[in-house]
Amino acid sequence: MRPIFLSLLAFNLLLTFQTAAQKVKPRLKDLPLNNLDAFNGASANWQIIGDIQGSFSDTALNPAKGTGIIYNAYNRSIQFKPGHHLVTQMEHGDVILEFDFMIPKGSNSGIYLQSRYEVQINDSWGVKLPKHGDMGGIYERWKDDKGYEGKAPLKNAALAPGLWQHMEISFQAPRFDAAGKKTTSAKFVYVKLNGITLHEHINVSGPTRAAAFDDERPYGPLMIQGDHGAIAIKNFKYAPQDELKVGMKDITYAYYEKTAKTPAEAVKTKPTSQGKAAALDARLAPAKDQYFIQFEGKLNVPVKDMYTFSMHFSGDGSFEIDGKTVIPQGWTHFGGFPLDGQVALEAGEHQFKLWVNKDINWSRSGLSLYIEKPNSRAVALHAPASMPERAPEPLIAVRAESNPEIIRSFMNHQGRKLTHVLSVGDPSQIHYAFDLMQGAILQMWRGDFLNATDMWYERGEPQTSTPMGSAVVLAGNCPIYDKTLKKDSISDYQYKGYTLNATGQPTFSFQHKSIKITDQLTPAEQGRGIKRILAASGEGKEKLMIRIAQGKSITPLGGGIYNIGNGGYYIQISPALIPKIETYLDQQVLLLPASEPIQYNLIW
Amino acid sequence: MCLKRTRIIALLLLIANVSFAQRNSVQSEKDYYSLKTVAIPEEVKLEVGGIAVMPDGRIAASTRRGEIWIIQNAYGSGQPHFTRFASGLHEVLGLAYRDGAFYCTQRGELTKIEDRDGDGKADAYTPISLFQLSGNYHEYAYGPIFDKNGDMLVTLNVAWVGYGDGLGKWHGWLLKIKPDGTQEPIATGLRSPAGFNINSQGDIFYAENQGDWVGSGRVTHLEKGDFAGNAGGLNWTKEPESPLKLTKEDLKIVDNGQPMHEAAKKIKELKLPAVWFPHTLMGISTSDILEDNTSGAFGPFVNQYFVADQGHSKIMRMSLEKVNGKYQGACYPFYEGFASGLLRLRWGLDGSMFAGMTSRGWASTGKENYALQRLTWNGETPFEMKDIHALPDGLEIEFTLPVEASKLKNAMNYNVNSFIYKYHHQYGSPIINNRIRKIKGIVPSADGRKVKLVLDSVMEGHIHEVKLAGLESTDGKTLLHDFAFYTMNNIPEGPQTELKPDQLVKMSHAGMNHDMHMKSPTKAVNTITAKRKLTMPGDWGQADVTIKLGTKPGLKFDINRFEVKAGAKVRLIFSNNDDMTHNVVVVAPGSADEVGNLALKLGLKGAEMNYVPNSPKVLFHTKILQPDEIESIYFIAPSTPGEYPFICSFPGHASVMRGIIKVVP
Repeated sequence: MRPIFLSLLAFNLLLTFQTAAQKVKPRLKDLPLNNLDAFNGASANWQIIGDIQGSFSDTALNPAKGTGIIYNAYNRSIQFKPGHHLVTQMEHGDVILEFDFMIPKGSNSGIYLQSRYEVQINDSWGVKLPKHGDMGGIYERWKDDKGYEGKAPLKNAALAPGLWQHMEISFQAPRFDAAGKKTTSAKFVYVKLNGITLHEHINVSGPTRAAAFDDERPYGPLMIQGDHGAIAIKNFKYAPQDELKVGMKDITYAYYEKTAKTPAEAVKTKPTSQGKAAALDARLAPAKDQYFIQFEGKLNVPVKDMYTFSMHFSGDGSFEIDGKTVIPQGWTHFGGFPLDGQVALEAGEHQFKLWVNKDINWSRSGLSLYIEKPNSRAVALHAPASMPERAPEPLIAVRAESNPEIIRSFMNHQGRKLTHVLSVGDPSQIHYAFDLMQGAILQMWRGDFLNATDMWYERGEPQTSTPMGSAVVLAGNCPIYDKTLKKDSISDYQYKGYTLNATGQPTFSFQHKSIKITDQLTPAEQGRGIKRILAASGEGKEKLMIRIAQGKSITPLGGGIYNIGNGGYYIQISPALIPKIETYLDQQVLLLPASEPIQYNLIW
Repeated sequence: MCLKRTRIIALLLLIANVSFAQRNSVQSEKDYYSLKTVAIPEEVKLEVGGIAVMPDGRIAASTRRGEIWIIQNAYGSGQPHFTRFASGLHEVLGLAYRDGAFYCTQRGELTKIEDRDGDGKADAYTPISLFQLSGNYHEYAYGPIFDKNGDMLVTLNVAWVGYGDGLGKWHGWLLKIKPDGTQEPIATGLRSPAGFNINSQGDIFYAENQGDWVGSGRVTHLEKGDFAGNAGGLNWTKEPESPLKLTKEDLKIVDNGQPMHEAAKKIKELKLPAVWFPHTLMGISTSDILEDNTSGAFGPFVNQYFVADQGHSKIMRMSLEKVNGKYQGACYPFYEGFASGLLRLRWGLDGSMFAGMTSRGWASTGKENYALQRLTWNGETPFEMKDIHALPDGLEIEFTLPVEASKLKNAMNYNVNSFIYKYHHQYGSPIINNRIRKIKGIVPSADGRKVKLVLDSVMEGHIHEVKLAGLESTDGKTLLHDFAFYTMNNIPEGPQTELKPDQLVKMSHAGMNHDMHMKSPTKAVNTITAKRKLTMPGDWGQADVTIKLGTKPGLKFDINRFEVKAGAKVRLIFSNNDDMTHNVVVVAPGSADEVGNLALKLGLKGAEMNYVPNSPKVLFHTKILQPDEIESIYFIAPSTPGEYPFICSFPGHASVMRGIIKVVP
């Protein structure tokens, strides 16, 4: 038979669609941190605070009053003592969650999914070959005085202590049969730290060593370890991913080769093809560039609830249920965002109608529709192949294994594509990207060096490269500071080239009016970060102030250490120097005079 | 067919009648030139963008990945030795070596590179001049070529945004850059100027690729204030330094598909190419230009030019003359079969030719991703058309060897055809004004090395195809290549050739000896045939299956395999989302190569036939689609199950751009 209609055989069956949680952004909700109500009898070491500072060399954090952050005021007296963990009221099964956290030097904590399965949090700053007990590891289980099943993270993606770090976890709870017997193990679908995926589909056969429970259950509260070290957590968001079973039937479609602004306009002409459809499927519109297509059918939801629909396509489109608009007519494409809308639905069958007018030929043809309800994962209501997959591309990585490597490329930075960017990779695993047009560090990272696939695969149309480690993104400003400028771009900072030292590390030269500036960047001692030496010469340098950092906030931590952007990275200068901190364009800048060579470390 | 066979038999008889032993008359390029490969180490990705021949025998090659490699033993006396001299550059598509330093273009700057501490590795990278970029992948930079004053010539590619546009300043331009970095804009209208050079007279030539505003590949002589045809660079004529004030708006009056020489009568800045390289008949993407200044070490073509072709992995030859003070001339096939896409040509110290290659996302006939090869002359002179000169009433052809007299004066052996391309903003052009030129008279020279062909008329601004057959050198060689294209921008003034009675050609000659592609042209491009049905047959109701086909970068269809039932009503929608032209041709099982090769041989008629050969092996096809064009065809799937290949038969694409329709019972 005609392949496209083969699945008509399945017509009228109640279909449960494959879940595709990764494809639609989960609707995260906040775990409130303005008081301790979200937690189950928090012990005294857990406090709600409003701000916190730390330093890479400090074993303590420095909290400040307020709300929004939960903080473990750990001290030695509670070490290894029971009753100091933090347990949520919320119990979860399958869940996606993310949070920001900060730990001091040498600290150790962990997040236990269902109070049983631990992702390790640990000060692993600078560790070259991380183990399961390092930051982001899946901590081991314990049996017969031996550890087993620990999973080391793919990479060490940890930042320096005292900086805010970001964890994302997708967890799948164990499954049980009617008799309560476990049928499927718990699983970490993914664990990401600072944007780097550390684990994917890791099964855990049972609770981690030092879990709160020995048994396994469909639901359980989250637990944060409190008896090993200090930790602060903010922006805790989660999305329960309970299974949602939705049925569809009686789907019909009408496809028109010509575009139409509305369904009313479309139906004035004869459809190019129409009939029954097995599923919502953009492939029923054979023209790739321009068409109008409409689907109608019945949708069966299991319970009364508020449902959210999310729809993605190229062109104009709309979605309605029982004659009521759910997603109003809107325009999008696959470089943009899906459209969504909410509707309260009774349990049972509902009539739906959906149309897409694809009148733009430069975005792919495709259609997706997801449904979700509170605490459920999003369920795809479209055929899997209705959305074209991007073709896989081989990784073309640049490594800096024995000598520094330099790569010039285009690079995206804070929403802009910069065209004269040079990235420097060092065997010490300290790397940075540098904008030659402004003499500015754009981002810096540890671990593997650079992904050049988008430059060198086939025609290399994006022509961009990207860091392969957790990147700390800087403001990317010129060291020259002119507070009279409304737009922060120095037009007379001229790139004059670079020389390489004996080990292959560059020193850049710039000219600003009559002043020559050299800018030397080398890995700092002990792999902590980058040492930068900016030296000005020539007439006028005495009056020149050099901007060594810029961020939303700049906080002196003492000893010549400054916290940039509230836990973004550190600047370290000689404690003898007194820099100027000024406000400029709603940000703060850290300034030193150019009269003497300026040396500072960037630490993250 | 019949005519051809008769002629072959006649030729055989003729050879048999000659009493002394003939040399083997089957000619091959490889009999005269040898192609040698410089072995590249496994770990080196030598996607060559630039080549510099160093005076001490080393060869330097710059790459797309931003490296400069120095190669010792590149001339073949030992294992080639590769040393990475420099790295961290942004796509180096041009390289020069001068006074102990390298000079190269990166996307964003012209850079001087030095090894100051003498350890064999670069340690100083100094920008001489910076180029503004919009961030588009198509913004390439080429050069530098040093002129006699030590200034550097650089060309900047237009961005590709569905058409070519000069988004960054001076993109689409030839710039002269002084050692202090000052940029002097010289000429614009450049689209993809990957190859350019200065000849021994100090004149600048650049090679252009087919594209928007460019009907076919070509080589143009650039002088200050010239506009070479592509509109993208005109964005910057408003700058005070611009030597011309022409705007995109000004071009509207000529954007109508007239031939370029007609447009040039209205737009005085518009520069006609010195030589057109007819698309697919010569190459598909001209790249580097190299003048033969080897004083004969590379063979008999001294002071002529070699022009490389990226897509066809071959080198063509170009001869120039000046008529009314302007350059024009001819192009000829020269040597094919290079390993990858040819980008860069440079003379070795021994008069051999180094050829640097990369195919990357633009597939080439040579299948390697990259290569470095060297072409050497073996000392023997091939029998070739050496040169073609314009006459007031025809063309004079000069040969490398004296030609057997009886054949030289035989009108049967000559065909001349004139044609041209459209000038418009669209991508490429069909061949237009295709006419057979009648040969009125033939005047051989006394030494047998030249022949004048007096034509019914000489077509100003048109390309004149010269196709020869049956000529033989006095030492028994047949022509190595039997066709050439002369671009007649200007017709020389002077007296008409006086023809003696035995030099007059009887008019009955015309057409006698013309093979298929010389027949008068037909308008096939939009012809709907049984193999190309554009509307659904009335009795179908609807198609059983609709196949949506697009393209992927790297000369690929986005789907390479699908199934249909035997006898199914198929609608095939081909959406050409690439930046080159393509078609879809469904062929009989096992005949993809055959049809692809037939398409290559269509010659002048290829474009108007959509590059679809007249063969029973062709089952169904679309027309040639422009970038972003769509065509639907309808056909009944074959009743015999099997694997039916589909290909893009555009010359040079068929070997890689193909897939399979599996017809199942």
